[in-house]
Amino acid sequence: MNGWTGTIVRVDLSSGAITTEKTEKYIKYTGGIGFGYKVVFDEAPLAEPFSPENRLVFATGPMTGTLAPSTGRSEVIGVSPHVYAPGSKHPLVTRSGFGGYWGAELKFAGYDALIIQGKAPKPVYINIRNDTVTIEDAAFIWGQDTFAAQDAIKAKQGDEKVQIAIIGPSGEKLVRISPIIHRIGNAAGQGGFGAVMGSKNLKAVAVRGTRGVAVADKDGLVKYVKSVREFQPGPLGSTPLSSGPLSWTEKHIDPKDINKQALRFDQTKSCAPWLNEYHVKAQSCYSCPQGCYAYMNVPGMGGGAVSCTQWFYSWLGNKDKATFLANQLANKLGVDTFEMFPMIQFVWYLQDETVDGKSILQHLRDKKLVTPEIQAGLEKGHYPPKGDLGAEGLETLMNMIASRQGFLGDALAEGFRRAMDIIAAKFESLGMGSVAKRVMHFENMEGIMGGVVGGNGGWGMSAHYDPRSFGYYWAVNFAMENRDPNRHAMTNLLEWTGLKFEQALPVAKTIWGEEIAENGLSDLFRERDVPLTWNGEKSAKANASLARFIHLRGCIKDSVTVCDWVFPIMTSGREDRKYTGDVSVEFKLFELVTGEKMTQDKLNERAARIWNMHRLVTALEWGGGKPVNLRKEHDQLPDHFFAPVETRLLPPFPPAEHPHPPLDRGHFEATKTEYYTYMGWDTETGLPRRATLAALGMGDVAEAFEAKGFKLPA
Amino acid sequence: MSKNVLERWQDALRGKKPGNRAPDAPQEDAAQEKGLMSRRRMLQILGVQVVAGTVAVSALAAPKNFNPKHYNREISPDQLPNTRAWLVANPAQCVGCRTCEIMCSLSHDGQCQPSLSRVTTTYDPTRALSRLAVMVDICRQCNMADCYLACGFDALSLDKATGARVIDPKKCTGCGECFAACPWDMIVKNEETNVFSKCDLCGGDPQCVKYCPAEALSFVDLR
Repeated sequence: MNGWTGTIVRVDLSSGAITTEKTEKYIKYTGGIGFGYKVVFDEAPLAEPFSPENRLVFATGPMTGTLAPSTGRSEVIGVSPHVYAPGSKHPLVTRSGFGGYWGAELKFAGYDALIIQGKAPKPVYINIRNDTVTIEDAAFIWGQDTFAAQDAIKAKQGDEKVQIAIIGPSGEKLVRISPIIHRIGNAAGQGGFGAVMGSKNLKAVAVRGTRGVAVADKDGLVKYVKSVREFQPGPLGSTPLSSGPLSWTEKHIDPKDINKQALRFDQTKSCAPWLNEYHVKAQSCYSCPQGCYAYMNVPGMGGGAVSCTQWFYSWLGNKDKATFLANQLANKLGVDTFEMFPMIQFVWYLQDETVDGKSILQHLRDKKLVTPEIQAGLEKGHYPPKGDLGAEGLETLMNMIASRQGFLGDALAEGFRRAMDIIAAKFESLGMGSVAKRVMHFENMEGIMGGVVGGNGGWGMSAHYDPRSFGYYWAVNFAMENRDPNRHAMTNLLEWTGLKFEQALPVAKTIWGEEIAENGLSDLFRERDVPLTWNGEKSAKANASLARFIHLRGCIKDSVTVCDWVFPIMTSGREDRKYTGDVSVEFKLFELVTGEKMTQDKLNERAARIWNMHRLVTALEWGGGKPVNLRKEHDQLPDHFFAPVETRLLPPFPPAEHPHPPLDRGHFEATKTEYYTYMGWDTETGLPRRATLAALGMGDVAEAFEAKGFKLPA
Repeated sequence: MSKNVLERWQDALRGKKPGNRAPDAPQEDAAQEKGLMSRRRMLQILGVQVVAGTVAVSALAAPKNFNPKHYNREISPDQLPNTRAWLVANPAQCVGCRTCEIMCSLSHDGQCQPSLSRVTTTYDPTRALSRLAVMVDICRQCNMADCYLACGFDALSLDKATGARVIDPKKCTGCGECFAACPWDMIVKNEETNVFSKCDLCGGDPQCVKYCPAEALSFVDLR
């Protein structure tokens, strides 16, 4: 078989049974999240996240492990403990991805995916070595941080080439915001899947494979990859034009020079230049010419890999070595770095807000809900001048979360959104209603970077990108997912490119045509009081189209699998191409690798199947099997996105732009209506129509859904 | 190296004919059992003639660190001319994308299979980063190549175009001597076919160099 290996392995940790099945069974859903959502739908959509019933699926795609660029990724799917949706009858399914080499190694071992169910009677790790899959005792590594534990597994195996996906002590304690870590910087961050592993007594999955991945057209693939590399930009801002606070351009390299591509990037220089002396070099994931990660070695803190939100402490204002320490602690203990934005701002908030003359933190201390030592540590971590925003505050906070220390540590370990509920409820129970209210007021607080990063984005998570800045397509994107979507299709065009809007718009027209580009897009860098582009029905349709584009491309990239810091290739650094990329690359690579004749429409159809699968699982979970109106109940954003910013912005440290004007509910709903139409979903309920599912070859799934749940609209 | 062999080499330099063969040569017996002409035997036949005629030249042509003790197949430096092209690795540049491994295996073995690659990356960054995180490592096409000298089945030859030391998969018997001999761990074993392979410089157009995105590999070509 080309691309796929043809085999999926299943491990039942309760019974110890290890079986294999044919990938053929799931192949309509391509791979990655496609496989994951199908498994969850078929087997346990209503499982509790920490129950043995919950499935944990690690899945790759046909392109994973091949020469196709940036194909080292693996997706993790299951019912999530992190997603916060009080309106839902049941916890919701979601996904998280990680790069590195693990996904490729799973293919080399001979598997497209790994399905895990059950719970081991005591701590174990799964060991995959080509045909041999076993469940091994993990007592020798239980409690260890992720770096030490990976080393220990490799030492025990006598093989330093083993690739490992692992949890830290936080996952073992079911810390809800616990990621799955691979190597020293790859992480399946949001979604809490580290805690799901912990709930199964599963410390790690170690993989070693010596086989290869077959591709259909070897020569064609090599030629095509070479041609793609000649125009693809660096990811997220490393084109020669990029400038600004998150610019990662360091070298003005000829984009056609495929031998220098990986040398464009130095995140240390742009995110934490005070750590330059500790920068070792850039690093890539499997088969990726971009080199996103910054490998660093700081005396006393060891070696580590840092990328993107792992720089969180510097983005929040730290200017010393604690920036790197933050990354090390997050990766070693296992704490989602993106969650640290709202977490740290919440902890500052608890110190800044006073009720009856005392800070909320002091109230906690007075009620013996936090120790004096922890209070002192957290106060030390306040931004200047009250604190030093340094190592002590950081270590106090991260350690208390990872170990669920005391009432406050235990609450924060639930993620900032649940922590708000827990702390407020505690104060209510103590008859301190005014303090409780003040805690809940954080729900409307704005974060840094224009409002969203560190604020309540929705689904109980901070949001990577702000719908008020991007547009209604982003709002719909957010509303349809079960988590902070973190999709980069739009930022690959509009934000991290260094292109001015005037330069990006022609590119957009090439990709979507004038109507959609002009009526749907807004300049991210416009004046802060300028609202989003809106031209009535034209814009509703344009935004709906763009939302659909993002969803389908997201499903494509998470199923074949490729990295969305590269795909879709919206732009190029090449002026002679008018900075235009090529969004047809995914389907062309798909055909070269698998041998299956492919077009954009066909690949979109594959993606639509996956997105409908996600929709159906969500519909079952939201209503617990009873009829639901997803449009009204699920497809929403937090209210504060629709209100003027009357809630106080977080104090201006670090300096933060105020958000763009609020969204308009009418525009949001109009976009939704058009979106459902494009997706073939009922416009009243947002549910997939039977006819749509039948056309996608999902008639069997529609039937199964109606058997498990309720009748779908025709 | 055995005293006998040293003596014979010295005899050859003095123009004397070779005496009896060294008493224990199990490898050769095995080879002769198989009906194959062993490398050693062939070189014996060839070596005497060449050395006898080029004594002075070969003595001058010996690399500065050439020590007769370093070979055990009765071969002198002029019988193993240096490669005329080779790879150079710059581990400081390597970003660990493993494109080199993918290209090597894809072009030689037909699949994306880094475990078969003849250029390797060490990618274990959880160890101390005092070593650089991921390093690319390459075959040095050694002058007095240990792999070449270790092969008793004539499976190692010199590439006509570059002088690279190349394993012929049809002649390789899987004995593993080259694998054991290489001090750089650059010989690769194919577990399925039981055949060994090594970097052959792709006949003069190394694919790993061509596609490395980080300038971590370069090709020195002195042809």
